[in-house]
Amino acid sequence: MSDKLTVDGVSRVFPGPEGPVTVLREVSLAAQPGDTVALVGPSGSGKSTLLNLIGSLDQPTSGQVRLGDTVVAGLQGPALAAFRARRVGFVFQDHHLLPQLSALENALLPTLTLPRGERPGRDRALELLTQVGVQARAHAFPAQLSGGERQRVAVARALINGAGLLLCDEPTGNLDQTTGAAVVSLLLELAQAGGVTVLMVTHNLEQAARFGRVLRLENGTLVPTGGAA
Amino acid sequence: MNWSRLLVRSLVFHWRTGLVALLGLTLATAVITGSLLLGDSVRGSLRDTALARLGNIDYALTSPRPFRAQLAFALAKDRDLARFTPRVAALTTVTGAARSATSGAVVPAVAVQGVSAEFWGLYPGESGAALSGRQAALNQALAQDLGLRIGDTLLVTVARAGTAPLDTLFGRRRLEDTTRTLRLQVATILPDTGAGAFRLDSAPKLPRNVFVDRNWLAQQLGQAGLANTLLLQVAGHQVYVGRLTAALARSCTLTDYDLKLLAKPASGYLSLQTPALALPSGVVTTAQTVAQRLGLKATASSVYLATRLRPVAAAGAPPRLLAYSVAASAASGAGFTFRAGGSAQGPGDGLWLNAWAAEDLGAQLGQTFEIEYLAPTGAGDYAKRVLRRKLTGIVEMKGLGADPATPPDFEGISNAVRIEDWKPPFPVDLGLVTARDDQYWAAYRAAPKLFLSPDTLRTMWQSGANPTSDWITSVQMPVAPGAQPQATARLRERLLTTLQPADAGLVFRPARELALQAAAGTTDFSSLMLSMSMFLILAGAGLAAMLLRLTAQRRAAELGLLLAVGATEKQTTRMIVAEGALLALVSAAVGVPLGVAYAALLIAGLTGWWSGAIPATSLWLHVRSVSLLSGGLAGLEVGVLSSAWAARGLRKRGVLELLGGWQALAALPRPARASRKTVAALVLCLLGALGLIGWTQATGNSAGASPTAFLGSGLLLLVAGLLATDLVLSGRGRRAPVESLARLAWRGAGTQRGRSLLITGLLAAAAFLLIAVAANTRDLTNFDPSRRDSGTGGFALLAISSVPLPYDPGTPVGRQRLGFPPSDEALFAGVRVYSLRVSPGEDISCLNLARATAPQLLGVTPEFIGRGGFRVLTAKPAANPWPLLTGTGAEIPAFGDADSVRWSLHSNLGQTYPVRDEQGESAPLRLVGLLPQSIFAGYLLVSENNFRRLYPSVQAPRLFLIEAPPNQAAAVAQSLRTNLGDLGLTVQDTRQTLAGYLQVQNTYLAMFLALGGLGMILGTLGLVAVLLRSVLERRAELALMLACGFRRGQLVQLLLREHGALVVVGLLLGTAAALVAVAPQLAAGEAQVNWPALGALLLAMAAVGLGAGALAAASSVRRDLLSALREE
Repeated sequence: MSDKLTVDGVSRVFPGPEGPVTVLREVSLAAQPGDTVALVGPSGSGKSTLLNLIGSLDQPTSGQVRLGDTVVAGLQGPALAAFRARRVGFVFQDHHLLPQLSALENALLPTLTLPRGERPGRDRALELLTQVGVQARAHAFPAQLSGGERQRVAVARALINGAGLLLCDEPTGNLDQTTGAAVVSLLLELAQAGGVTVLMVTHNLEQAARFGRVLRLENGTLVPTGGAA
Repeated sequence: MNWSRLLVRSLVFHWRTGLVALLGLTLATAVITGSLLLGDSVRGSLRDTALARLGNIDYALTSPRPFRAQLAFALAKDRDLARFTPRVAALTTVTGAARSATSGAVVPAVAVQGVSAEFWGLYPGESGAALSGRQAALNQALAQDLGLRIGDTLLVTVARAGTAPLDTLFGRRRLEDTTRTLRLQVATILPDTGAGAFRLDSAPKLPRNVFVDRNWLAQQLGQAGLANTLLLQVAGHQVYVGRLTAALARSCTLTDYDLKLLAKPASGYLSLQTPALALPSGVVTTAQTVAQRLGLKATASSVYLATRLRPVAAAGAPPRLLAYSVAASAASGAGFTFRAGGSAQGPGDGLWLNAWAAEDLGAQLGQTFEIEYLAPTGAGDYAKRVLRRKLTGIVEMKGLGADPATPPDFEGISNAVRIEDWKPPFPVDLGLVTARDDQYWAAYRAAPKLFLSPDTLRTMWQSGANPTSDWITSVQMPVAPGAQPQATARLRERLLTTLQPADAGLVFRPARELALQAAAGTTDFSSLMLSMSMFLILAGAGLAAMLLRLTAQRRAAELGLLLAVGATEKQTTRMIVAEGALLALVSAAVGVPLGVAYAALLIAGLTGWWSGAIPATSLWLHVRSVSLLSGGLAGLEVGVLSSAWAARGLRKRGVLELLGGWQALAALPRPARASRKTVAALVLCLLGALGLIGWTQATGNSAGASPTAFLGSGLLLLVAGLLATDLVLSGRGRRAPVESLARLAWRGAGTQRGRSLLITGLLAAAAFLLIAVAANTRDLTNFDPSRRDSGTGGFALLAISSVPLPYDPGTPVGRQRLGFPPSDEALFAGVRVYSLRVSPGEDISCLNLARATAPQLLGVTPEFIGRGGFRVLTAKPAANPWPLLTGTGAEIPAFGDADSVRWSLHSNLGQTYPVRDEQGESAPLRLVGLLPQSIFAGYLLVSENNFRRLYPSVQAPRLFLIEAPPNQAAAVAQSLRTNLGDLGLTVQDTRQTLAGYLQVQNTYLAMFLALGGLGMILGTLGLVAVLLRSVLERRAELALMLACGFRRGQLVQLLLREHGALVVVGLLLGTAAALVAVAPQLAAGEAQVNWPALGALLLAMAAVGLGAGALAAASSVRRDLLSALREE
């Protein structure tokens, strides 16, 4: 299920050895279900920080992040865990697949966080693996997969619990051009087919251009871009 | 997919780490289980040994005075007791020394048991021994000690109690009267189990027993028909002591109370007397009360012997005297007919003579007389005492004035036909006896010639060695001759219903129950072994915990991901803990059986190379399921706690931190606030350490506080050192630029500060503990036993006799009477002997593993108290604290060895400890002084006067402390052994005595060091695993360095420097702090540190640490590092 994403005047300040460091300044954005948004900008501009704030992995210093009616910053404990489990899916630059689990099992990993009766089953996982194109490698372990395959499994894992918002932090950063392009295609297909909102941080402007919108962050502030809006 | 599957997959994937953690947990489980089983084994062995020795005996009665052997039969037939089908055996038990007739070998402290068939019946399944006459059954241990076989002859010297107390005028002191040597032939040799090992006290030491026929032994001791011990078996153990005591009271006759009620028709009264001559004051009071209830008047009467009675004559008057006249007390004029003078109130301060004596002496009223009498001294001779009394009455030769029934029977006197036939224990000058005296003896026997006030008689009795001696010799109750048979019966019946068996020391004790209590032991061996094996447990548990934590840390990103996809902290924590629990379950299954093997190994050690820790105690393996379960559960708990600790370290981290992985976590900078706290703690520790040492030096307190203060300082320095290491590792402030491989290595160590500190801290703590413990091993080579403030009190020798010595071996007279040749006197010049009485009871020193149920007491003489000596810890310091023992309140002041009081009695200074006196009454001892590491470890000390109150039947000393110049000590010891060896006297150098106690302590320390050393080596190996893992985890970093141009050799060097520095710093820190902690012991020269062994152990730890680091480094750089770089 997708919901509207609203980021409203969000700032994030980190303590530093030489005083507080403002990483994000009053950032606001909104995304409708099915939107695909690419976040670009130089290193240190606050892209990953923004993604983490949206995904509830971090808390804003000020401002608000809302997904549908849910105020993300207000979540704690079980509600926070449930939000992460059901509403958002993450794909990291480092795939973070568990080496001891097969691709199929890795895809199923987030289901452990749901009550037993609500857990998507093996079929759903296989379906997702098929969707991301690695169904033939379902029983292979991460060490036996290529970088692209690992990232595809990570995408399947992010979607297994039916998240409406997919947050991808440079998922193609470790991949070659072709494989990276394939992963981006996959993400865009998923957004189109399932109405999933996709936010992706990337340095690759070519890949970014394939997204519905491109937002550019510089020194913690969104600046206008020439891309499609 | 489910959590269980994930759990199993994770365990399988991380199997190498899991296996090492499993080994660690298995080790911890095995050691914990083994330690618990050792406790079970000690308790179980003590219990089995004690119960086997008791056979079916439930209760036992040991009396200081003999009673009728028939009492056993009477008790068995008692109307109340009979339904419990009791089996009662009467024994005559005496202690002595056994000597082989052929080899001359002597064994002291041998128990001679006079037994009958009933005794063997208490040991079902044992055939026993049918003995008669001189036939003896020896237990195997004694036969072996003496080298005897069946048919061989042995001589046993035992104490023979006389009728009158030894310390009174009428007590027989000569060795031929107080001891008896029995010539026995070995008929049977019994095994050292069951009846052969019979003993009633709790000491686990195997007794040396000689069994002979009871009737024969009683005859040899002059106690035909008597016994002194009852053993009782009752069906179902359902009888309580109160019921037994009631049955005993119903079964006793006056003979069992050592009393006789005599009808004296010629004298017109009934007389209650005792063969011991002086009636106990309690009996006198009871008799008077009973008589009063029966309407009889009861008068307490006392007699003594006046060796000379003469008028204080004017100068030139012819000397006249009466020798050996009996003096009697006269409380009033009743029963006397006065020829002249006299008073209804008794003689008071004056003297009455009977007419015969007055005529002999030509006495006139108002004339002053000197009454000379003998008072026995502790040395064994007799002092002359003189009283002056004015003659205030002359009584006619009738009634009490000429009553031969007034004195009780004097052994060796009363039955003599003439005075020259007397065989008294005291010296008699027959030259003073006249024909008139013989005539008087023929006509009036021992009828008193002079009469004094009861107080004067008491003075005469109590002016000797025993100032609290009983002194009433009879209670007289006037009854008309015709009514005497009936009155005697009534009085006897009333006395028997009023007297309590305990009054005569007839007290049943629950032998089986006491044995079980004693079997609990003085020390909880489970806890002791757990402490001893602490390093092993820590090595195992620590290794497991470290690996589980490292694994958890390494999986930080995995946990971060789980949290990111919606798992709760609880779920991730539960997963880590569950992994640990699963490992712990497997380790429990493996570790528990290994624990049984570990316990068996410890037992082999304790009965073999560590036998010094449990002297003379049989020990075998006992396995209790509860210990197995506890050991398994403890192992499980260790596993769960270790993994919980591992998980805890990650719980505080945010998801993003965790997603960053373990390396990022390790590299997180330390908050400045934490560093400031560390600096503050470091300064406080340093100031504390210096302050403690400064305080000790300033107050000059070098006795007790100094070692503690130095230990405290050492610990503070150790902590300070670790804090400083932490600061240096964290690199706060001036962080040196990385300009060399060494600095790079140190920076590497700092990057994983927690792990580095763990390695340094563990090694430092281990080195500290090993050195501190080793320094407590004491050596007496340089110990000066002549120092009065030492544990020997300045005494050179300590002698213990198997039988009480009737004469004081400390005086020339005593030695002469004990048979020392005159030529030995020169050896005793400048030698002083202090003789102490010893109560029955049990050794409370560390040499007795069983819990003492009745501690042995020593009676400390006034001379000893005046002398002082020893280091005594008291509530208030005093130059000579020994007078604290002279208190006479309801709580009896006592001293005890500090360690024995603490560990064996579980008491302390200022606390009370209850003991039971001879009558079975509880008497609270107040511990007013503690003697650290003294030769009195086996005893509690009370003043001799208080000792007499508790144990009146112990009439002579058995323990002798000898002050002798160092060059004479050996010769004195030899003389004592030569002349008193047959009496079972053992003489020991006090340094040897102390060494005996220290051997136990030193063996425990050796055990601790051995187990600790093993634990440390295993712990170091555990560290190696951590190092290896750490190196492997850093292979990408190493690959990068290779890529940057480093050579492989340089990388090995780098890793070695990094790990080596931690190992060396840890060992140096621990060693330096420990040397400060043990400085006082080292300075005193009393520490027996095996420096080479200790040094080797520390070097081994360093070598294992460094070697393993090298191995890890070499193995790491041999791998394909560039592939690691690519993976990264």
